[in-house]
Amino acid sequence: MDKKTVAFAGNPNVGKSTVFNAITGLHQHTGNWTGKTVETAIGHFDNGTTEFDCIDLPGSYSMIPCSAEEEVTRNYILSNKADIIVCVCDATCLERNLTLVLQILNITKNVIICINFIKEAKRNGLTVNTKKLSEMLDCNVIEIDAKKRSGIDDLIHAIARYKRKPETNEPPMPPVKINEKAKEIFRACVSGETKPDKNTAKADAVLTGKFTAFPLMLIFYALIFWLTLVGSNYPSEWLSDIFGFLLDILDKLLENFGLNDFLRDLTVYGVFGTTATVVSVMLPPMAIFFPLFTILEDIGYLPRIAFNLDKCFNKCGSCGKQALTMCMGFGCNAAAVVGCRIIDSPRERLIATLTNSFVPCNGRFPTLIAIIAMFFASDGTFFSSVVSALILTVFVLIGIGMTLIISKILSKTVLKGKSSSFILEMPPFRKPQIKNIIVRSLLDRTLKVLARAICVAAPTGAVIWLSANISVDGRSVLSMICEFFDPIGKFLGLDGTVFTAFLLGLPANEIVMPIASMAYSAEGALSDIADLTAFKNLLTANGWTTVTAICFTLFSLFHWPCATTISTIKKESGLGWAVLSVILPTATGFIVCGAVSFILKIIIL
Amino acid sequence: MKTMRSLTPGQTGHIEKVNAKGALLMRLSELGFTADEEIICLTESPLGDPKTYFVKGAVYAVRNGDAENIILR
Repeated sequence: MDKKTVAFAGNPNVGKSTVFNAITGLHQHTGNWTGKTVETAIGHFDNGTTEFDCIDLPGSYSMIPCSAEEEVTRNYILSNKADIIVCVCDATCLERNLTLVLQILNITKNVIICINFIKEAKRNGLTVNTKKLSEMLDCNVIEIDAKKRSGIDDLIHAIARYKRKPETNEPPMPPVKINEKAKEIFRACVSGETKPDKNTAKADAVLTGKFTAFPLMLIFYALIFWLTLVGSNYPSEWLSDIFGFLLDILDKLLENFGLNDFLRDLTVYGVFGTTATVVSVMLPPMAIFFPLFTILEDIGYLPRIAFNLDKCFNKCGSCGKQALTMCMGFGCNAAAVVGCRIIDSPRERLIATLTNSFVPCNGRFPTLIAIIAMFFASDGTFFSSVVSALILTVFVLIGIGMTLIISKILSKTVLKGKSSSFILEMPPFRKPQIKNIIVRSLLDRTLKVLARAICVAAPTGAVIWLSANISVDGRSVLSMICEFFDPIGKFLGLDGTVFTAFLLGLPANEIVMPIASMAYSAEGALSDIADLTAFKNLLTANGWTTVTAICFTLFSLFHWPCATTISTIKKESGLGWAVLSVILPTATGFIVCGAVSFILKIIIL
Repeated sequence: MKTMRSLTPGQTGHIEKVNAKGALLMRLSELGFTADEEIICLTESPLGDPKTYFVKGAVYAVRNGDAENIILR
């Protein structure tokens, strides 16, 4: 079969990814860009005779790049690797889209143009003459409604039938000329007067209103946490039961194979047990949180958060888009660090990168939720789950506050400077595409993060099991390590065991609590922490008080980022900044926990 | 001199010129903040800064400090 490469380009928020998904279906994956770690979706389809590799390029306003993301798109198009470029345009703001189209046509003539959102444009008072547009641009122009899949077949046909045009030696147009030409074509092909979208205006009046914006933001956060909290309870127990069952089977199986006790326990309780705990603790909250978060993303709420909070970030010398990357951090800090590429100024991008781990990621939520449920709202009723969600929201607010404080300190010291200009598009609110959301969030986010966690949990499980089961002078290595760190732990209002658990949890935050429980119970295997009452008893038997719980929660917010995040920062910004990204939250954690435990102990004594 | 910053939600203005240089000027003109263009101020952030402006069919949040560089007729 023949092979051809099709690249999808377009402004942000034009439905480019929807078109891409409609064409490639599930035959896609998110891949790393060679050399850099820019994540682009890669997919393919074929028509029997030719196989088409499709690449979803990052959304871009211009071929004159302002951010790392836009640079990727420009460099790819300049590299001439694609046989065809499909340029997706939004009919509601066609003139701006035409600027990009003309810039791309300046580089290659092998372009197919898709016009999306024709209906929305009509509702706003605009009619697009696609035939005339096609003549003026000398390109194939296809009307599509990406959500309803109409026009997608036309696009597939157009791609399949496409014959590459010979390269011409026309001199490229200067940028100013391009803007003029875009205006000229727009005037010739679009009739009617453009008006702001009415529904979006109504929604914005509430969502960014003076008195409603912040309460609604808090309610959305609390609601997402609450749904995650309540929704993941039962699936976590089910998974835990299933894994318990599988563990017995594996144990018997290995016994029958004649494996010796030591190796069998290492495999069953160390490797399998740890991995099973991590999966059953992590998977349900992620499978609920990521789709909910993607819904907010998909309807266009995230730019509104940035809009509401921008003044705070501006005052701290950083960029409003940092609010977006901060929100991404709730999902996964490592992914959010990559997301910091949307920030144009390198200085502000570094601030956003370095402060990202100050908000708790999904790997830390289950732990936070468990501690809150055990020590602050323990009776398991509807009311207590609401209280838990609210307490979690308060801790999240503490994290956001610390993000701002550290951003301010950074912009006054190592990353000195005023905040640069900030222009952020507020896309119209659009209905979320539930099917896409589920596919994207489960495949791209949940499974990816889970796979990563399993990769680190399995070897860590072996190490922990070994350290708990190898004894020197009748004492396990693990207990000796815990004792060694006890002074530091005590200073933080914790103890050596918990501190060791945080250290061993470096590969993935989700295993901190299971490690602590294992070290306490000295069972030599990660025990089931689904049973909260039993777990609380275990903790209190080991000297846990409410102060310990508060300090634990704070230290869980402010300590070193997980290994994946650190290595991502190293890739994105270099070793020096990666080191600082470890020092900053750790120092913050030591100061905050040290002070809180000191003060609380004085008050209580 | 009237700048885009002085617009309050609901008000309309016409751009006379943009006081910006280099990449920022380029980006502003690509987005539609160019001479003779009509802009409508739509909303204001609950904290007063930035505000959103409608130009050429799309809506952008622009910080007040930056909006001062866009001179209106």
